[in-house]
Amino acid sequence: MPAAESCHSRSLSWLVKSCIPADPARHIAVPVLCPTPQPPPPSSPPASPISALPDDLLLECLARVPRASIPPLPAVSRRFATLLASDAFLHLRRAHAHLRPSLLALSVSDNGCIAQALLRFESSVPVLEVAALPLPPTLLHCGGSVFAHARAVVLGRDVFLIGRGATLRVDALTGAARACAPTLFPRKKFAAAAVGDRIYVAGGSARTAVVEEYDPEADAWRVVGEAPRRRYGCAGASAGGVFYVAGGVAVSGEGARALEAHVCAGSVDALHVASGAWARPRALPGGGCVVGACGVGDHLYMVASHAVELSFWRWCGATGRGGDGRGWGGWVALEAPPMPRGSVGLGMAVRVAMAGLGTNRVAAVVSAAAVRGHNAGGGALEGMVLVYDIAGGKWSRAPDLPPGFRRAALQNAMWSSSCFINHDEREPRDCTNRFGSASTNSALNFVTPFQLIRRSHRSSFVPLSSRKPHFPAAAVSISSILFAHTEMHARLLLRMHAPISFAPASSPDAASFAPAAADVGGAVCLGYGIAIAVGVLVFISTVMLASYICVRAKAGAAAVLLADDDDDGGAPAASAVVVLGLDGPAIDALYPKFLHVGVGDDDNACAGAQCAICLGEFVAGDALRRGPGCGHRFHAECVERWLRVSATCPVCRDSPLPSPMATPLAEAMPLAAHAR
Amino acid sequence: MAAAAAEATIDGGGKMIILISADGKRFEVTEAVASQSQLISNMIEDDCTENGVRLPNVDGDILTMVVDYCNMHAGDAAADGDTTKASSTEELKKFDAELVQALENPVLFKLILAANFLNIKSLLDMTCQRVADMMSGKTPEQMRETFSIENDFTPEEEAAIRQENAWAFDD
Repeated sequence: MPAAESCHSRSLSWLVKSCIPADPARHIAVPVLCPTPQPPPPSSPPASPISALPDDLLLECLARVPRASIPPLPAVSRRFATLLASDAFLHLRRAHAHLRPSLLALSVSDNGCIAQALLRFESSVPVLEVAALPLPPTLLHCGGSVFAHARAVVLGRDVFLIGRGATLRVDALTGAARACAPTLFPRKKFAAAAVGDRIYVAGGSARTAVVEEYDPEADAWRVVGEAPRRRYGCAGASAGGVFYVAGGVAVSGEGARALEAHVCAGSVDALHVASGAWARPRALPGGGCVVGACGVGDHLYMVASHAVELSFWRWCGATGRGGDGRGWGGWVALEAPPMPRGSVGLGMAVRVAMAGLGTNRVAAVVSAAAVRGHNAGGGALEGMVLVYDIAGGKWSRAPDLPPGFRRAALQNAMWSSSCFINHDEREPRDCTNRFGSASTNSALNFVTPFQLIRRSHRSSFVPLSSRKPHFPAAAVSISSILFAHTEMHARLLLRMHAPISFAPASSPDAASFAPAAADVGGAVCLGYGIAIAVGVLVFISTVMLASYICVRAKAGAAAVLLADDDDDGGAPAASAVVVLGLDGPAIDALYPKFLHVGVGDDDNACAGAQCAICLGEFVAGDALRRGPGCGHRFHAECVERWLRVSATCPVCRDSPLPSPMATPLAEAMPLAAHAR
Repeated sequence: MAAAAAEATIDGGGKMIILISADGKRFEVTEAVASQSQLISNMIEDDCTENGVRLPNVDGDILTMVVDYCNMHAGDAAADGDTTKASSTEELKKFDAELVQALENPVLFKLILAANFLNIKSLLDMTCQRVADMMSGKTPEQMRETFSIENDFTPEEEAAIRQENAWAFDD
């Protein structure tokens, strides 16, 4: 009996102990703020049964609710709202494997509507979902324009969409969206990233260089330091406790008046957040411009544009050594993102938004569009999603973002911004989940290499065009010399003709004078002598001058011949021909004349709306001529002068003549074909 | 109580364990069945089950369901690698589904509490999932009605919450 007694007491003690779950993994100790409501309403015996559940059990139930059904839950009761807002809810869902990596793309229209696309990567085939997310009423007054070039940062379960003068916070689990404190300084195209549980922003303003920090608990921004450079259009990322600001344009000068900008290309500033010290890691090698950046673990990943290609880099930042910039790791070149043909090149602007996906993948959303005045040539693309497997070192392609997002980026009326969500809410059986929670960030970086491309365009083309704008250099030299050559001939003929015509004219004169001279005697003879002497002198000097010019011109032509032979032995015949122009009717037939009607005219066939010869803009009412094959347009009076000399298009050397045998110009064809 | 110490042994079977519900009902189960409950399993290890196990938190009818469930799943843990089990897993699933579907509100929550108290993970999972399924696809009003939850928001608070989740309430 005593044994039984003791055993019984022990069993009771076990009962007591067992109230604490034996398996700690199953129950996560949850700091639930809401005091367990113990409203045992004795009046209603059936009671409200769900209220009888302790918080941890109710959480167990809530954590199993499919993603799509979560949004209405907080509106049920205070207890529900508190439980759903707790970290424990997130932990439980993660424990139940309802969280999966996924990508959230946001597209903001100017009527204040945000579209969200969610790309979930939990299975082998990523799944795409799209939903609308209306702005909260507090932000409706400012419309969508504040979120043009907004940056998206993921912090815990919340997605922060930081715009110019407004911040939107979206709870990724419940979908609740509300307005937060805006940044202290209005910014646009800035760098933003989450380090620890704070958000850091830098750049994007010409007026200030300060770096701001956002505390989501206090919903307040504060200034934490000053960046070494005022960058605009930069990319931000965080890795290993360091906030990186990379690329963009450095803006200097006080106020908006004296803005000077120079391209930062691949330079990187790094703020070690804990110590507040800035470091300047080595710039991205290869002279590329940073177009996208993200951090995964302790590593920084960057996509750089080299105008005609993209490159992909990893920076091995070393945690805790951010003070002096020395002892940092180096850049490692990785496989470049696979871009479709024609999407990268001169005249194309590439935007890349990047984020880490879990710890083993990097996702990038790539858009490419033609720079104004350039022809995309089918290379434009929007919302292409690429995923880089860090372990395997390979890029793969995921489904593109939906067409709405394409349009959003294509049209200037809407802006798109992307962010990635590291872990997403997922329900294996339920495909209607919206989007998820959690951790890394990214932001669109808007085209930094662009300024470079433009600049190089200017430098190479403008000086040229001030002389002879529109020909390829080689073509210019040859044809202009040939032009000179023919002109000389013409002038030579004229000069030669002049003395000859003079001579007969003067001889009758002399003959008519002669009898008179004989009459007047010696004075007349003297006059004759002087006249003859002068005439002979003039004749001799004219002949010498003519022969001199003739020799000069021939030597010039020979030089051209030699040069051409040296350049390319394939077209010796070309330089021997004399290119003749078209006459009036031919010009009218081949280069039809028309009146420019102004905006809306078909600009697609040719680049720009200016005459390549005089560099003047086309004004409505101008008489223009258009090339028959290439469609290049010029002012009629500008191009006529050229066409009388050469039958080819001044821009592309395209010859209007359909067959090589059609006219004497046929001989010009090889040259034209060769030049192209 | 000592008299009730029915330490019965069936031929070939394991030790029998007596479970006593809050309202005094007694259930005799084999050790294999009972040890699905982590709570009882611990007690068996400690050898304190001779006098029967009192479960003061569990009603008789709820305990009936728990014991049914445990009986069905008894082979589960014991014969994991057993190939003969393959056919019965289908049956088991069907049984689980029927059990859960049949549950009504008050019973369901009592079962959750019991499963939690007895620490039977699979039963707890199943019942919680059932609640989650009941919650899914409902508006807040429907949910309050289903689970007889009192709306303790002030009208202003409720309006604010609905604003935040505006898109979720679009029908």
